Amino acid sequence: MIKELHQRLVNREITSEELTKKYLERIKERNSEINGFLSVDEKGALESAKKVDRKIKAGEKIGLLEGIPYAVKDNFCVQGGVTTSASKILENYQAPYDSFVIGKLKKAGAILLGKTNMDEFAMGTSTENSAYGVVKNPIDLERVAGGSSGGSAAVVADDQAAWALGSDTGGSIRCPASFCGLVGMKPTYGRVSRAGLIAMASSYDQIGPFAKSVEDAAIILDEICRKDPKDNTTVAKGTRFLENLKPEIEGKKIGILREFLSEDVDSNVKEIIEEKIKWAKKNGAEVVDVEIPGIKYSLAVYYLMICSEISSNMARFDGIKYGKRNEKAENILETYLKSRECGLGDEVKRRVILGTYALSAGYKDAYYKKAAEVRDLIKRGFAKAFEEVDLILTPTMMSPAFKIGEKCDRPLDLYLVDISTVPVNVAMLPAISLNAGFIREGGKEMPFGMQLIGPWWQEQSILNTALAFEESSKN
Amino acid sequence: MSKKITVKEVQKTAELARIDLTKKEEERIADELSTILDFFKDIEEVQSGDTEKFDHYQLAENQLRADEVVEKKEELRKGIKENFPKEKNGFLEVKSVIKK
Repeated sequence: MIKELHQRLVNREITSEELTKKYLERIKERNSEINGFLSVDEKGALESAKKVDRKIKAGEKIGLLEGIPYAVKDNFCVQGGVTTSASKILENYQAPYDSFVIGKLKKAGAILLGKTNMDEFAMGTSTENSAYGVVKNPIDLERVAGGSSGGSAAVVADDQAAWALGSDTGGSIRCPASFCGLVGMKPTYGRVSRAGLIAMASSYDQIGPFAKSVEDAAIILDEICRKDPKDNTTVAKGTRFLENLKPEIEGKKIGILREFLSEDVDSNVKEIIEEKIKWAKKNGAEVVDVEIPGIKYSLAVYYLMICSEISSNMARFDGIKYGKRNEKAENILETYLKSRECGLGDEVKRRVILGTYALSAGYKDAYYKKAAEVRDLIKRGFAKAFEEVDLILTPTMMSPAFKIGEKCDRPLDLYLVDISTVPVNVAMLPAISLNAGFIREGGKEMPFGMQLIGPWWQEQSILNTALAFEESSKN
Repeated sequence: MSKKITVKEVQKTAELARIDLTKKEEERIADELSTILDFFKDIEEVQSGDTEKFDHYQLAENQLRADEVVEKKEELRKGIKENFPKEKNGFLEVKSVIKK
């Protein structure tokens, strides 16, 4: 899709301004219903588009993303306008600088349409925790779009943006990609700089794209995977994902984790994933079962560690230097207590308190340290599995998108739906979710995704095999 | 590890976390945390003490920078000040830290 749009711009069949206006009109028409965008920068988008048009007119060469409109999750700092992270406490926050990836994309001439809705501070699986209302799934408005990057997925699926960025801490790109029928990729921890991304859990967060195709995802990744001195976890590994993109299935060794195809999985999802496995075998892939010791503890490791990291990262939101301050306070301690009481939502409070508890004296070893040790065990398990196989295939989610409100009452129920995405972040691995098929529910064809997990830094292998699967479903 | 978290523990933790909670919230969170931690208690049974650290970078060097003051643009300073909830003569104003 990006290449096609690029070609139309270069051939002067359409101007970037016209293209941008087309998306802005679609947003105007649909946003009140879907609630995918929290803010739209019409003026900025059109100005940037005109700049690209002048370049094209002057006969200058333009990059693949240049002049093409995209959207970004509202936890990315963008200078000018507000960056809320879907929280009340940041309702007026104006980022004084651009996050690293936004800076890169501005230089590349990509057109930023606006900031998308999400779970508050990215804490959630359904975008029902946003302080600014739930995002509706464009395919069925009674269902969630997934989370926490629900807005980014919904606006791409609904043609309100050509592509979007999200962040993935435990599945926050792959889950909404699965629920909205898109390609969503979480790169290896360290691929994309998190500088200027409002942190949730620093040793888990990673930025990645939402796209209509595997090729688009490769184009976006080529632009954002860079070493950044402001994020010391990033590495100087050059990427040429698009250049090296070719369908690969023959001779690939694919591992299956049977626990993710158990009776807990929706039977229709299971059936279609089994068909994908059959297709892979038929086309020359070798498929074997793999086991990862400790993988069943992934959710425990994940929630204990991220809540601990959250309790530390959220400490900065105290109404002092920025954000909403409660002026009824009598002294500084009350300023903290009251600003946080009014400014933070239920899920944020729950995780901060769980994390503070897990890190408190007497419990730190039993919770945080233990979880960190088991994390290493799981990483080693994956490393061993990847000596045997090239990739691991699982369903992305256990079912298609659920109904809004269906899982609101018990927070634990919502934690459990991340079961097959979370181990990837625990092990810091790269993984993609791409559409596997559709299931008819309530008269609607609901999409759901399959997940391909690869070894560290092997995004190319993931993309190439994903492309083979994608092409097979087109035929 | 499996134990019921009391309202008193939630109060103490909320105080450490600097969050005011209503009575209703305290009770609800005590219940929720007990359920969540109980569900995760299986992690105790893992023999993990001997697990060697696993580093997916496999880079044996620290990434350090010089400990130097870096001058930032006035524009950035201005942007930061514009976000102050309350300002007086270019300074950030807060409630009294020391009891009068």
